Amino acid sequence: MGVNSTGRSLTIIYLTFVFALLLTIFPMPTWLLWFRPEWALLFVIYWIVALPNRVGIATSWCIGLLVDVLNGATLGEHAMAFALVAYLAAKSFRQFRMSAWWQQMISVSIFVALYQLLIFFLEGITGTIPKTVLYWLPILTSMLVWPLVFIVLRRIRRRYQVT
Amino acid sequence: MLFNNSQYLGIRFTFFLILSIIVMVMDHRNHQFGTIRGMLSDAMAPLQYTVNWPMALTQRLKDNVHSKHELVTENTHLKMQNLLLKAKVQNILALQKENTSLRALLKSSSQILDHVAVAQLLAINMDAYIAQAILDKGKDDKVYVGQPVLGANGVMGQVIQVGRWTSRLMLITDTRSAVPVVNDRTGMRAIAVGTGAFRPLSLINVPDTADIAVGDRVSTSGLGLLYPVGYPVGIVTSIRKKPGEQFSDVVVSPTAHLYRDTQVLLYWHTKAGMVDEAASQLKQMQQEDKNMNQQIIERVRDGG
Repeated sequence: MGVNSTGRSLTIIYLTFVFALLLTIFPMPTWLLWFRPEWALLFVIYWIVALPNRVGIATSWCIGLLVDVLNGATLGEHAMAFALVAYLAAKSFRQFRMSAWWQQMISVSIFVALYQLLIFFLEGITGTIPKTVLYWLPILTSMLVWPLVFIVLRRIRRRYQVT
Repeated sequence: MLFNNSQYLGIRFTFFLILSIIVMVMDHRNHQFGTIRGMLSDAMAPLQYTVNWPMALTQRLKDNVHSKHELVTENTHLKMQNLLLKAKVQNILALQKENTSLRALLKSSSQILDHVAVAQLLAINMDAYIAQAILDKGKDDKVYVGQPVLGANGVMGQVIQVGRWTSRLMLITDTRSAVPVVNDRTGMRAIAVGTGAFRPLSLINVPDTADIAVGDRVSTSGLGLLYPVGYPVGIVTSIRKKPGEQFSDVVVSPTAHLYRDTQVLLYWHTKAGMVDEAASQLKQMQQEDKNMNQQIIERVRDGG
C-alpha cells in the first residue's frame, strides 16, 4: 500500500484510457463509422463504478476534453457530456454494481443516450448538427459491447490489483 | 467517507458544468484559445501516429506480397502513363510560357508553377458527422491555416488548424466549408457549400433562370483568394427548380475521392520568382528536345 501502490494503480487506469482514446480514433471503413461505440465513455463508466475514489468527475472531464481535441469539436462539448455521465455514474455506483449484467447494459444505454443527446444540443448551438438518424446508433453498439468492456477491465483490475 | 463523497458530488458537477460552458464560449469566440488547442493537439499527435501504424504496416505487407507478374504489368502501365504525362507537360510548359507573355502584355500578375508537397492523411474521419481529417505535416513543414489541400481528382479542402507535427484538414463537405466555383461550360460563378460528411455539396444562390445542366463540371474560380484557379470541385448531379422560389437546389458531387485518398497535395501560392524557374525548366526541356532531334537526324544520316 501507500504511494507506490497508488501510483501504479493510476498508471494502469490511465493506460486503459489511452487505449480507449486509440479505439476512439481508430480508422475504419466508412460504413462502419456510425457503429463505433463510445469507447472512452464506457471506460470512464467502468472505472467510476469500480473505483469511485480514484476516478471521478474531474478525470472524466479531462478525458472528455481530449476527445474534443481528437474529434475537432468545440472544446468543452464532450467534456461537459463526460462530466454529466460521470456525475450520474458516481451517484448510482452502488446500485450499478449490484445489478445484473442485462440491467447494467440498460443503464449504460441510458448513459450513452443522455451523452449523445447533450452533444446533439451543443452541436446544434455551434451549427454542425448531424442530420441522420444513424447518429443515435452508438447507443445500441455501446450497450452491446459493454459486457466485453466490463469483463476485460475487471480482469485487468484484478490481475494488477488496481485499488 | 462515501457519504461525504456523494455530498460534494453535486458541487463538483456544477463546477465542471460551468467550466465547460466557459471553455466552450472561449473556444467559440476567442481565437487566442487556439494556442491551448494547439498544445493539446500536439500532445495527442503520438496517438494519431500510433493509430495509423497498423494501416501503414498492412500496406507494406501488401506491397511485399505483390507477385512479379503484377509488378511487371504495373510497371509497364506506369511507364506508359509517364510517357503520356511527359508529353502533356511539354505542351503545358509551352502554353504557360505563352500565357506568361500574354499576361505580361496585359500587365496582370501571373501565378505559374506553384509549390506543392505531398502529405499523408492520418486517421481520416474519426467521427462520422465531422468532415475533417488529420494530415501528417504541421508547422515544421510550413503548413499554414487556410492552406488549400488538393487530391488527385479535385479539391479536398483547407487546413483549419496547425500543430507542430500534424494539422487538421476541413473537407469541402463540412458544413462550414464554402468554395467559390465557376461552371466550366458556361462560366457562371457560384459557391459550393458543404452539407455534412458523406453528403454531396450544394450550390447556393443559383437563380432559377441560370444556364446550368446535370453533368456540368464546376471548378475553383480563384475568387476569395484561397483556392487556386481551375481545379475541379465536382459534377452537377441534380437540379431541382422549386416553383415560386428565386433559387434552385443544385446538388454537386465532389470529384475528389474525399474518403478514399490517403495522399493529398498541400498547395502554396507562389510569387513571381517561380516564373523564372518555369522559364529555365522550359529552356532545358527544349534543349533536350533539340539534342534528341539532332541525334535522330545523325542516326538517319548514318543509316542513309
